[in-house]
Amino acid sequence: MLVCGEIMRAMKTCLYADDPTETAVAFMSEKHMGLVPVVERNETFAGLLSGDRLMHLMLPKHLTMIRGLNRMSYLRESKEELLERLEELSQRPIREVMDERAKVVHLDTPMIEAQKILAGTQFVVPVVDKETRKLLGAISFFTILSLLRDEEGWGERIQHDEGDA
Amino acid sequence: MHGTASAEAAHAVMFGLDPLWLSSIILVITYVVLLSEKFHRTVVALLGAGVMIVSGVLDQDQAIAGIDFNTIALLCGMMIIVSITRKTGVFEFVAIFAAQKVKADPLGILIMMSIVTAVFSALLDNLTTVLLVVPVALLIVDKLKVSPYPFLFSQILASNVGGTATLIGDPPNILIGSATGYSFNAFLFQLGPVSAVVMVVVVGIFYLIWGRSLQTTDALKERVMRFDALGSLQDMRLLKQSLGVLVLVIAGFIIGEHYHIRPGTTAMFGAALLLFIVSIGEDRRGQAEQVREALEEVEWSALFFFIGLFVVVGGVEHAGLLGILAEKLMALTGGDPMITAFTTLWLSAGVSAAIDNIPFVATMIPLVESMEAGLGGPVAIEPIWWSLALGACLGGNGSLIGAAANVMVAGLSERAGTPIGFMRFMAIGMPIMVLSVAIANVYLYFRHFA
Repeated sequence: MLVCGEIMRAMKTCLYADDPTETAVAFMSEKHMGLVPVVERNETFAGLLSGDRLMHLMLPKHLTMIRGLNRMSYLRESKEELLERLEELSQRPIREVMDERAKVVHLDTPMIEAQKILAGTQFVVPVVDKETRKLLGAISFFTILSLLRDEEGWGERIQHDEGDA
Repeated sequence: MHGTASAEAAHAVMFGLDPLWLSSIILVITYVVLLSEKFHRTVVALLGAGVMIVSGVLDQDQAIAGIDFNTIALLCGMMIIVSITRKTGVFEFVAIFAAQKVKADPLGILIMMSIVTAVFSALLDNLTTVLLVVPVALLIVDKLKVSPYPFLFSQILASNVGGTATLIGDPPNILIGSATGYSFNAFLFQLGPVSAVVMVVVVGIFYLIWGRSLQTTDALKERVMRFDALGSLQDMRLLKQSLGVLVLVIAGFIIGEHYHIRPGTTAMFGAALLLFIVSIGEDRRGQAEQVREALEEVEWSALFFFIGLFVVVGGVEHAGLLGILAEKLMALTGGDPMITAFTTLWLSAGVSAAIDNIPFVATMIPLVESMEAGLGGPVAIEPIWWSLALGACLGGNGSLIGAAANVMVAGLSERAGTPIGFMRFMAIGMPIMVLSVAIANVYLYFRHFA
């Protein structure tokens, strides 16, 4: 059986939940990353911060709130207005803007579980230690594609696992 | 009379309990739980209704007979029409147009938005109106970087005053109109003038309170002036269709009384007509989508809340409690129509400020009906009904929980990051409520008793 620990890519992050969001914005902008994991100071997984979440929070809140406006076709905004909202957002701790309910998997979680999460709205699944909740790695669409491209090697491993069983 | 009703109900009541006491206890518990806000009000009302039936105070047929389907149809029909009209962006257009007409001056916007809300509240209903206008108002205020509270408070106050003016403007009026059969025109002619006077006074008070403090810069005003009001109008065909039906429905409310067509029928027929018109040219799947979208926007929880409430109130009415209370009230006022009217006005205002005015009015309706004979018939009772409507609608301004529209605005403002404090609102709302009810009292005196 294919498990998440076998296919994940090891990953570390330098973003802490209590950092200001401007740290994350600078990091994502520099590395051209659309999604980054966030950890607590003790390296336990805290959540995911994505570019689309930042874009969502940079919209006028009257559009995104429940029962808010459902269109903005009349709005004509300047760069200054957008910048003001980015600056406001940048001052908030990452904890307030990240998705702390991001789904995670463990080393021994069947890969199909990760694939199911990827088939939903989350395009990276963090792999965390079951006991300590420390971030170990991540699985994405690309991780699975790499696995499939290397079919022969993976086939051998599966047969080996089945033989063990 | 109540004794007979009580005796009729007694035979089937659980454990042979006195239906009068049992129904009263169910009513009080239902209202206490509603007031506590620990559970969703729809669940509480439906549970109360269920207990009324299961305990034997009412049988199922009596419970169903107690539901005012005219009210349910009126609310449901208007919700469908507004949900389709909303898609056109016309409400945003009007709000932005009004803001730009006053050159984005904050005080001008405050007054214009209050008038827009009052007029929409009278023509649609105040709950729907605040849902449509408040988010736009908050967006404009955000652009101007002024305090949102004057705008939020004025929206609440204007929605309740505007809603007082017509049969469809505020849920208490819908309930009273349905129970009495008074026409749309009767409400407009009886309550419209006093609502207009109260609105002028309220706008004057807004000016006195916030006239000097609402200041912004020209650069920030420019942000609002840059809005493309016409850009908010998304679908001109749908706009013509929905506004056409809305006009027909309002005309139907006005002339319907001559043909014995009740407002619930007019609203539901209008909703069906609009759904039919927007479905023309769509394939079966498109038609199904149109219907699904329109029905999704209906506030089903509000409709089921009303259904539950009608059954609970029907239970105490059937058991005779409201008849006894009516007799007591009559004894208290000596059967004098003027004293009864003024007592009803102030009592309704006071209670409506403290609790949601919908359950209060639902309970008061059968009570007022019970007083009709004692006061001298349908003509003599008429001022009492108007007193109840004025007291309940204007009383809603007394506190943040006084009316459904207030609660809705409080929810919207909290989600926008600007929560309204209960006492902060009360400091403005209560004096305005007392003043507006005093104006209503003078109006009632000159209109019916001078």
